Amino acid sequence: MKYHLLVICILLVMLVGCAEENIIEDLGIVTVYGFDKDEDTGHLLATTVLYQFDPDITNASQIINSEGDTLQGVKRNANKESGHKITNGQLRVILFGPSLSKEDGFIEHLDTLGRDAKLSDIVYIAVSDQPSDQVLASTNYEEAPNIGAYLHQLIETAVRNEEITSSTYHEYLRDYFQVGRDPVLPLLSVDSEKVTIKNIAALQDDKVVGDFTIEEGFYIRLMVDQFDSGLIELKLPIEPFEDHLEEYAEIEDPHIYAVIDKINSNTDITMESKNPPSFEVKIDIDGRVIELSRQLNLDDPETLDVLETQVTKQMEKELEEVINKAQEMNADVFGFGVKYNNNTRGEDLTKEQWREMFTDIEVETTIKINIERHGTVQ
Amino acid sequence: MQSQLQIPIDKKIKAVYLFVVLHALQMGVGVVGLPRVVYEEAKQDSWVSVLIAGIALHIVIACIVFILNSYKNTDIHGILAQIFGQKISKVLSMVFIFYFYLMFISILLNYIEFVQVFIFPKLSTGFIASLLIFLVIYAVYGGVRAAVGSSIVFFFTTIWMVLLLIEPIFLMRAEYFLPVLDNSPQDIFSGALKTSYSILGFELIWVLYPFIQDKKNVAKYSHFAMLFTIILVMYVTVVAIGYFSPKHLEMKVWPLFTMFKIITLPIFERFDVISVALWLMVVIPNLILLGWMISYSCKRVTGLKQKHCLHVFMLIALIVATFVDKREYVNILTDYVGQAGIFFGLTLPFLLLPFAIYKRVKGNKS
Repeated sequence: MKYHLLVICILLVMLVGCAEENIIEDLGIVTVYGFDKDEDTGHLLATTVLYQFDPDITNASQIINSEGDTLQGVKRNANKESGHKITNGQLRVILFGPSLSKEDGFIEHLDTLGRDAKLSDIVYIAVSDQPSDQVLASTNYEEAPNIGAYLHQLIETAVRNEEITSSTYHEYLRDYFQVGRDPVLPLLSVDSEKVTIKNIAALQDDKVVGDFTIEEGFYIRLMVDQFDSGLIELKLPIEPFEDHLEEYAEIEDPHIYAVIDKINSNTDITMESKNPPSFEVKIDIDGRVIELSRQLNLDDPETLDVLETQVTKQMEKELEEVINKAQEMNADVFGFGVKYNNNTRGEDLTKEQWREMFTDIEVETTIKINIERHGTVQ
Repeated sequence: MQSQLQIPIDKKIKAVYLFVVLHALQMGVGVVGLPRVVYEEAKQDSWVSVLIAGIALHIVIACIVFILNSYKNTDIHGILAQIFGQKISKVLSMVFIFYFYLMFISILLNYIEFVQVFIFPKLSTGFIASLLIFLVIYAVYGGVRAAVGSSIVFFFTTIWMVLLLIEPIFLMRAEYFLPVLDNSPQDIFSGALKTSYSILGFELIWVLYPFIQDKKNVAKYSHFAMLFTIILVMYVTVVAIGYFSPKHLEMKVWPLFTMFKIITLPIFERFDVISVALWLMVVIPNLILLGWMISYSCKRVTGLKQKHCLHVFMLIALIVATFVDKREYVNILTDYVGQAGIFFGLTLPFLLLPFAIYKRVKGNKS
């Protein structure tokens, strides 16, 4: 009796293999979707970039344009134009063109990413300033097998180098749902047939309201995240350094450029008063000088002191500019609203309330910089 | 029905196994959805709810062990028989068995749903159910030692999964826990009640007690098991609150699996699919232990052969699983089991406590 049961068990286990087969040569594996809105019909215009693992074909990448109203519908319509079964499991990037990201918003097209268990949570969300089909049609994608893989590499490298904040589906969505914090996304652009990360787009919910340069993005990242090895280039006035210069060449530039890298930061935001909302931001930065446009003897504590003061001053100034710019856009990418909400007990902030308050908040910033090393040059 | 059981020594188990067995039965399908369920009630203070549930759990288990120690070598059915007499106790025992049977079916259906959502959408419920039920029948044939042994094996093959949450831990944000204790005590308390479904399963000790060799250690190891379960449940809840933003968490039906979604290893691109498959090893001990408990209790109460009881119960479970496969019904069933658990798991021990105290006092006098 026991023996029979064992046989039945083994048989049943083996039968699981018959459940659903996916042969890799028959699949068209989507790496990126690009979405735009057709202004005339109101439908969604999608660009699907596929991989094919067929040993016989040389060009393994394919781009299909299709129409639809939902992501899954677009996928079905793209399937009409391909002999391969299109699957979403390896989707890496979803790109939204300006017609969606600036006007209509795109949150409804992201629903299936959460609902369909086949789709991963580490898909990057990005927006572009040109229609997404143009972006995805660019031909220079380095050694990557197709444009989708390239975009994924492009964004991931920038995230790993701490140039932009990570914007995976999970991270975008949690900021989207969080009252008092607005998401940022990388803004892609095509420049001579090559896609680049041009700017960082600031969003109100799912609509782009403005953008920051990558340099300004440094300060956003400084406020919301910790740096482990960031890099910043600063343009400082020359006057305070005049007594400390050790020149070996004549340079006619009223500025001194300093590059600090391996930045390790720690940010502390506290709420000072509730009405009007005012905050105090304290940032501690450790880093090393990796490049200077003029020669300074940094072994001299006095010179180092001057450099640190000037860097602090410059950074505080730039940070305030970034905060003012965000207030003009009315996109709280720093999460001041979260701090406000966390410090007020018993009342729930709504997004609308915070939008009204955010433009009037006052922020006082104190940056403390500590230059630990300055390379192999005195 | 005999009230004092004489279990042969070759069927007895050491008390130390209670630690694994009780924990294995508590961990299962509940913890996968728990963070959301608690969060809906207690918001950012959910961890307080879990803490309260944990304290309650320790009190309950202390109470159960006290009752069992008072009645010496017997199980829940023997105790009921001594208190209420043969006839009434049989009815009560049947209700008790039916409760465990519902728990069995709800675990079965919940796990099948995971498989259908995450791995094989087209695989029929009946097919997966028959696979699982055959495994259960096969294991229960081996008797109590096989049931306990299998849960120990599966415990050690799955416990490493707690390390998988390291990646979500790095994405946690402290701001989601603030402000602390901002919700009303009622919300926090109802959150604690909602935790019940995930920590049910300790009732196994009611039936397993006569099989334990060194009874003086029962209290110690069962408390260890409760502590370990609560630590794990707390861990999952805390990580989930920090990983998701408030409304985001309420949207996720199974936050634990969603947290596995960001894990990629060089050999496994999508670890969540593997984790659902691995979850079978968490669920199987549940089913085996419950299957043994149901069939053994049935034998105790009705006097039928354990095998026959098992066959009938498993056949009905298979039929039910084949027809009840809509998420709506699964939800309703799970809710009922959770509510029944509040009575059978958490309240029943306190109802029986006066009888046990009375028995002790009387025993001391004579």
